[in-house]
Amino acid sequence: MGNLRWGRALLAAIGLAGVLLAQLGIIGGLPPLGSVLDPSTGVLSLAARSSLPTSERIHAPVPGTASIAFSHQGIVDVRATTDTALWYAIGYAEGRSRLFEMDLLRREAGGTLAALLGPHYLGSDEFQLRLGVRAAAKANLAALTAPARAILTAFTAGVNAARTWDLEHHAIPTPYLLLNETPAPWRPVDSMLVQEFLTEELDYTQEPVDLTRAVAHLGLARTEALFPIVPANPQSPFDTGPYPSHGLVPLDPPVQVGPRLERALASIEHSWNEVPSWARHQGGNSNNWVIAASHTTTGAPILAGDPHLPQTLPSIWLWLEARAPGYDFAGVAVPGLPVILIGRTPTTAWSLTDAETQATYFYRLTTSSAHPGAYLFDGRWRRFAVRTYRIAVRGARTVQLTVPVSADGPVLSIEGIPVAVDWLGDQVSPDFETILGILQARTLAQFLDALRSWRAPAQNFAFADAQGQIGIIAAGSYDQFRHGIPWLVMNGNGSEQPVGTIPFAAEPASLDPARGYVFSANQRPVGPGYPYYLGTSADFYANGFRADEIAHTLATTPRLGVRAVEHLQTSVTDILAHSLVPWLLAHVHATVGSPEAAALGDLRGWNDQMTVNSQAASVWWIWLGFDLRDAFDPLWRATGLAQPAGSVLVVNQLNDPLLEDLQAIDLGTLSPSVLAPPGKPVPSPIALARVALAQTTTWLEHHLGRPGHWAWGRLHRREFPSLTGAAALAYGPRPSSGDAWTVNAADGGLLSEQGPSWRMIVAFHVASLGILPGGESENPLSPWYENLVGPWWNGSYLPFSTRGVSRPIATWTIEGAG
Amino acid sequence: MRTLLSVVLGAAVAFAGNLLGLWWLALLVGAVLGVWANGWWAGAAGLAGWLADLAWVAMRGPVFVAARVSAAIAGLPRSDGILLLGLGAALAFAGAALAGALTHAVGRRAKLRQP
Repeated sequence: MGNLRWGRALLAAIGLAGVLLAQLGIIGGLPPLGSVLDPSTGVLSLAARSSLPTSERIHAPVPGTASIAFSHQGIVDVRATTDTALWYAIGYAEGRSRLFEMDLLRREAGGTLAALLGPHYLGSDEFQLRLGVRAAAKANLAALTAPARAILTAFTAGVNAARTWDLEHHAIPTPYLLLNETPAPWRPVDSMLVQEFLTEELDYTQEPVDLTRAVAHLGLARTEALFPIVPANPQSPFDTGPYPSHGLVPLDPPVQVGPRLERALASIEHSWNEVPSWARHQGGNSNNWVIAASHTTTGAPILAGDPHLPQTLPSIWLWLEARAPGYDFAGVAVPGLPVILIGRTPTTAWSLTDAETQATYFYRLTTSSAHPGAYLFDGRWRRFAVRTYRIAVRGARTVQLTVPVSADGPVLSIEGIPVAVDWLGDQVSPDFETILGILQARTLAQFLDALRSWRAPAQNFAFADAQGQIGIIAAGSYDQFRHGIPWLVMNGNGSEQPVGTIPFAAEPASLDPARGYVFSANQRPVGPGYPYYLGTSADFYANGFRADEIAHTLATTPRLGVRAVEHLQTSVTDILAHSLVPWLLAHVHATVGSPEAAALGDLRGWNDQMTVNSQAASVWWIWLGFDLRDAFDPLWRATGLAQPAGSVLVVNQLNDPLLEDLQAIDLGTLSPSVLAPPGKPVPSPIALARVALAQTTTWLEHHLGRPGHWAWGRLHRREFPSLTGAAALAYGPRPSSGDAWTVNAADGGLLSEQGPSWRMIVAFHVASLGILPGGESENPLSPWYENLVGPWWNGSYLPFSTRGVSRPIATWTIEGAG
Repeated sequence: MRTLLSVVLGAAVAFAGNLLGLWWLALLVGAVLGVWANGWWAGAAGLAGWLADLAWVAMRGPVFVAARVSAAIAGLPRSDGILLLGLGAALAFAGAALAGALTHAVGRRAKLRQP
C-alpha cells in the first residue's frame, strides 16, 4: 500500500514537472503556456481590447496639456497647449496604437530582427549591418540640432509612457506574449532608424550590380541599348528646361568582370533578398500633381498625392491631425517619427513621390594577400576601418559580424572580390529638420528653402499654397562623376569617386509653370538635354506610362474639380495597352472561330481599362508577358545571363526598361536587332507577337477555361498582408482591377501587395480628402484594424482638416506638469 | 461539505491569480487542497478559477475571436483557436490536479507512518 502511494506521488511529480515545463516555456519551441494562456493577462486578453477606446486622463512630466481625440474612423487628432506636449502626445498616440509595428521597423533597419524572430532573419540583420544602416542612424542622431533633439526626446517619452501603460495593463501586442518578450523602451536613435528604414526602402537599389553582370554577358553596347540612360519612351518629364549648359559626362571603359567579381555580385544579390519583402520597395510607383487655380473649377489650387508602398496591415501610415502653438498640420506619419511626411497645414499642402534617381554606387576593391586588412586606394595601401557587431539570435547562438569599411563605403559582398557600396543613405541627411521646416513653411519660397539641405532619399516634392503658388522639385543629393560609369560597378582605386553634386538651383524642378500644373509619377523628371547624371532607365525609374496619362489628363482638361481628380487618382487605364494593342490588332490575325480570334475580338472592343470583369485585360497582360519572354529570353539564354530574383535582369512585365524597349521595337523606333542572339537572325516583332498570342490563349484556356471565362479578376488579386506574417490576419486576396502601371497601381504581378498606401486631395478653400488601405490600429480585434480598406477599395475618401475632429468618440487628456 | 467549500475558495484564489497574471497560483492552490482532498478536487478548483477568469474576459470582448487571432499569429490554423482554449483549460486543470495529487499522496503516506 505504501509503495503504491509512493508510486502515485512519483507519477504526479513527473506529470507536474511536465506541465510546469510547458507552462514555463522550457519545452523546445513552445511559448510559456502558463502566462500565454492566462485569460486576463495572456493572449486571450486581446478580447478585452476589441472595443473602441474610452476617454482617459494621463499624467505626464511635460509642460502644458494635450488631448488625443479619436474620430469615428479612428483618425487621431492631437491638440496641445505647448509644442513639447504635442510631441509627447504624438509619441503616446503612436505607441498605444502601433508599438509592434514601430518595433519591427527599428529592428529591421537596425539589424535586430533575429533577436526577436529567430534565425530566419539573421540574413536580413547581416545585410542591414553590412550596409551600415545602424551606423547611419547614430550619425543622423548625433547631427541633429538641439531643438530637433528636444522634439525627439519628448516624442520618445510619449512612446515610452504608452509602452508602460501597455505593460501595466497587460496590453502589449500579442506577438510579444507568444514570444515571451517585452518590447524594449524607445530611444531617440530608434526614430532615426525608422527614418533610415524609409530611406532604404525608397532609395536603395542594386541595379549597378545587375547591369555589371549584364555587361559581362551582353557586352557594353548591347547593355546600353537595352538599359539606356535616357529611356526609349519620352516619359513626360516635369522639368522640360531650359537646362544649365554645363554637366559631366563620364565615359571610361567598364571594369572587367571575371568569375571572382561575378561571385561577389551574386552574393550581394542574394543577401539583399534576405531582407523581408515588406521592407523592400522594388516597384517604383507613386503619383502627385498640383493644378494651378487657373485650371481648376474651384478657383484655388488642387493638390493630389498617392504614395505607392508595400500595403500591409497595419499600414505604414498613421493618419494624424495636430495643433500646438508652433505647429498646425494634418496628414500621414510613419509610426516611429513624430512628424507627418505628406499632408497639409492651414496654408500649404504637399505630397511626395520617389525621385528614383541613382543613390547607390558600387566599387570593386583591390586587395592583396601581401597587405592583409588593406585595399589599394590612390596608389597606396589603406587599412579598412572595421565595424564589429554581435547579432543576437532568438533560440540560437549570438553571431559575430565584422564589416570592413573602405573610403567608398562598407564592403557588401560576402564572396569573391570585395565590393563596397557608397549608398547615400549612409550619409547624414537632415530629413527630420527639413520636415520641421516644411511644416512651418507658408509660401513656395519657404518650402523650397527648407528643402535645400535634403539629401536622401531623393523625392519629388509637389507643393501648393493657399495663395495659389504651385511647384515641384526633385530634392536630393545627386553624385556626379568625371570618370567611371556610375551605373556599373566602378573601380575602387580612388579615380572614380564622385566629384560633386548637382547644385540645388539645377535640380529638376518646375515652379509656377505657365501650363498650370506640375506632376510626377516616378518618371525620369528631365528631358534628354539635361546635362547632369541622374541614373539610368533601369534605376527603378518607372516606365512613364502613369506620367503619360496624368500629363495627358492635366493638359487636355480645361478645368479640373475634385471629382475629376478623384477619377484620375483611381484610374485603371493601361497606357501601354493604349499604345500597343492597336499595333497588335493591325499586325496579327487569326482563323475565325479559333481561341486566338476570340482573344483578338476581346482586344478589338476594349477601352484599355484593367477592370475586374474585363477579358481583354487578361489577354493583354498574359500576351505581354509571353511577348517579352519570347523577345528577350533567347538572348539571355544564348549569352548565359541569369535572371536572379529581384534583379532588373528578370524578364517579365515588371521590368520597366525591357517594357520600354519592347514598346519601341514594336512601334518601330528601336531596331529589333538588339534582340538577336550572337550569330542568329534578327527576330520579327510581328512573328513574336503572333507566337505570343497563341501561347496566351493556350495559357488562358488551361488556367481559366474557354473564352468567355477570362475575366481579369479571376487572374489578378490584391492582398494586404499582416506584418505578423499570419495569413489569417491579411486582407484578401480579392479580385482587383489595375496593373503595375495604371495610375491606381497594383504592383507585383498577378498577386499585388503594393500600391497606393494613402490617397490625398487638397482643394484649397473647398475640401481636404484622404484615405488609406488599413486602419489606425495594429490590433487585429480593433474595429479600426482594417476599417478604411473598404472605402479605399471603392475609391471613396474621408474629409480631414487641420481644424480637428468634430464629435470625437473618445479623448485621452494628458495633464502635464504645469 | 468542507471539501466543496475549499474547492470554491481555491477556485476564487486561482481566479484572482489569473486576474493578476499569477497563473502559477492555481498550482499552489492545488497543492494546498491536496492536503485534505484528492487531485480531482484540486484540478476542479484550478479549472474553475481559469474558467471564471475566461468568463470575466469574455464579458468584455469576443474571447473566441481572440483565441483564433492568437492561434493565427502563433502560426497555427485560425481554427485552432478552440484548441488553444482547450489547452488553456487542460493545463489549468492538470497543473492543479497533479500538484494536489502529489501533496495528497505524500500527506497520506505521512499519515500511514504515524504510530
